Amino acid sequence: MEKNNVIEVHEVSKKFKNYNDKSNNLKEKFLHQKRNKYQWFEVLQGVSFDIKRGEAIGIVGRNGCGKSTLLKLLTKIIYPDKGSIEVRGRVSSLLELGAGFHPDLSGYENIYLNASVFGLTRNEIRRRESDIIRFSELGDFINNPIRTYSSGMYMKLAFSVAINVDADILLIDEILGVGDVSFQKKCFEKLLDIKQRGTTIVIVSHSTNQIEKICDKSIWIEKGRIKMTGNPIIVHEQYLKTMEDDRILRSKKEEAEREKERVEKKQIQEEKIQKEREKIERIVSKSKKERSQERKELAKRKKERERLRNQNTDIENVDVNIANTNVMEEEVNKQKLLIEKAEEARQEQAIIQNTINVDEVPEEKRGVVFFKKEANRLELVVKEKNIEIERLNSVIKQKDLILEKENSKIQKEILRLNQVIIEKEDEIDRLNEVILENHEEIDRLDIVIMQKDVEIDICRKTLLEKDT
Amino acid sequence: MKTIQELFHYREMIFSLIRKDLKGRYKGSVLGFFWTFLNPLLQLIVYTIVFSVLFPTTLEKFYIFLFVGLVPWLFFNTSLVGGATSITSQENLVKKIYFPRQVLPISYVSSAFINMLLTFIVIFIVLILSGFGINISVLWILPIVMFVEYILVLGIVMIISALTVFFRDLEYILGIIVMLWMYLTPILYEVETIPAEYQKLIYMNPMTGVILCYKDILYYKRLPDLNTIGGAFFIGTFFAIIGFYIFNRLQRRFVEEL
Repeated sequence: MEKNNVIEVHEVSKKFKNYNDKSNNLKEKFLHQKRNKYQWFEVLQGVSFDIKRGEAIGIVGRNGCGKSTLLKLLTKIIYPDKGSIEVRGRVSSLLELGAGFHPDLSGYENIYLNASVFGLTRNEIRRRESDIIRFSELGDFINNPIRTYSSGMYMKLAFSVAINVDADILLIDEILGVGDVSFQKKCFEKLLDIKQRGTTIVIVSHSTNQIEKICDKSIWIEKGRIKMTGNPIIVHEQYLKTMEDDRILRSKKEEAEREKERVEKKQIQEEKIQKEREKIERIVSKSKKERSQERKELAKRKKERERLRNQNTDIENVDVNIANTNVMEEEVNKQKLLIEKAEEARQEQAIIQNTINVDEVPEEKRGVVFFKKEANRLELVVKEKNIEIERLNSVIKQKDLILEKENSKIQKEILRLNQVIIEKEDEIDRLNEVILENHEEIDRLDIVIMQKDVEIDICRKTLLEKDT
Repeated sequence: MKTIQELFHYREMIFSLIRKDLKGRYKGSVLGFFWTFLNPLLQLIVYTIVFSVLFPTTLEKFYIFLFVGLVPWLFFNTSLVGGATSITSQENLVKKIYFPRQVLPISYVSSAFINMLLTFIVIFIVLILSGFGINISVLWILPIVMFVEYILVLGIVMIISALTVFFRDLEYILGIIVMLWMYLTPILYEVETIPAEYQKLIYMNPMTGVILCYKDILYYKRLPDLNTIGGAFFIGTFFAIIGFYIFNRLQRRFVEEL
């Protein structure tokens, strides 16, 4: 080790096992050997640098470049796989503040506990005690158990202990964010003061500003290797430029990826829509089939009715009325005639009665005359009765005719009603047709609705995408 | 050598961890620190009842025979069972800050050791009050025996605590091992009373020599013979060196395994 150097890092490499599924007990180690598969991940690949006494070094680099690992290596929390690290002097690390703090002990007791973790002896701690308490700004709270502290107070105390260790080398990892603004400023000034007194400082930070203010030299680590060393301002300029370029590149890449994703999504959506459309078409064709079936049926029924109607008209042509009335009149006249005849017969009878007077006839002839008279009368009665029969026959005939007429009337009515029924049925079919048409319209609208639904879905998705 | 130097540097950390441990051990219990004395006394009572009432022995004042072996054994027992997790239970500290890792098992074993020293006060009181008496002329060798036991236990705990980081199951297996170990150690019996072929097994046990020394000094009131104490000293040193060596080798990968 050279005389002026306090830290010498020589060709240091470090790799970690990246367990797929870490298990630490025997059972799992034996049972799930597959699960214990791991990949080596090389965090640092041959890093070398020296740090001279009193130097302040900043380490920059993107996330995961290995700068925190480097710091852990410097504190000997972990050890390198290859290469060597030599450190001369007491190291205090502000990697983890408040290490070993015990919540039930008072702040005062915790100063001793925490400082002892940094390797200070009791006497050394006693010498720094008042400094630490003053710097922490805790005042009387120092005697309270630290579980009663606010997080700010906790960090202040922890920082005060760590920074007052008076180490030869101070390692800092991204910690200048403790407490409020004034405390931060105080910490910063304290750091400058410490540096003035010859303490070597190594800072890992993303804040290039802080490093520029404190450090004389900056080390830029990229993918486990040192990319650049030198004046912080120059190194940072390059570093920030690269970072910015990377950012732009990455954002472009991300944009391209996003675009690709969008296209893919669109494709998927289109496929989905296509499917949806096919589905709709299937439904449509199905309903069309049904409708045409219905239509066919309607047409069939119409034909049937047409046939019926034609039949009806045939029947209608048969008119019985006129003939009937003539016959009837004839019959009535015949009856009248017969009645007259009957009257004549009665009159003849009366004549016979009158003409043959029994008194004028001699006694002996009186019997013959009487029987003659009686015979004549009976003849006349027979004649009368015959006429009567004839009349009654004619009446029967007349009644028959009337009946016939009635019948034909009824028949006609039936026909008319049939006609009406057909008409009504026509009407029903017409309405059915309208219903059918409406159904078709509904189908059409359903399709439109479905299409709109799909469209809405698409719109919603694009909206969501845009939102994100 | 460098490690020992560094450990010396971190002595305050060891002390404060011991303080924290002793303070915290019986924290929250009503009798508090008094349990340090009460616990071995109660165990003594249990064993005495078992071995003088249920399985009577011919040994004179059996409870004293038992007590002088039991207290050093309890130190061994607590150190092993608790010390196994001394690294894993301080995971946060180990992962985040540098200090010589040996500090953790050392402070744990030391606090258990201090506990044993305090219990020895009870032993002396019992010895005097019971009229059994103490042979002052051999008492000077007692601290040496204690030291030998201390480094022996420390060595074993170093190995176990480091291995526990890699195999967490060890913590649970250890309970049963220590129980078996106790019966292989002449605490409840004299070595001479067991069958000859098993005596060899007993003598292979690294704890046997130490316990025999305690019994010689306090029960038989005589100087342990040179073979016994020499052998114990040799075994203790051997384990201490091996323990430190193994621990040193394994500690490099602690943070990665935790």
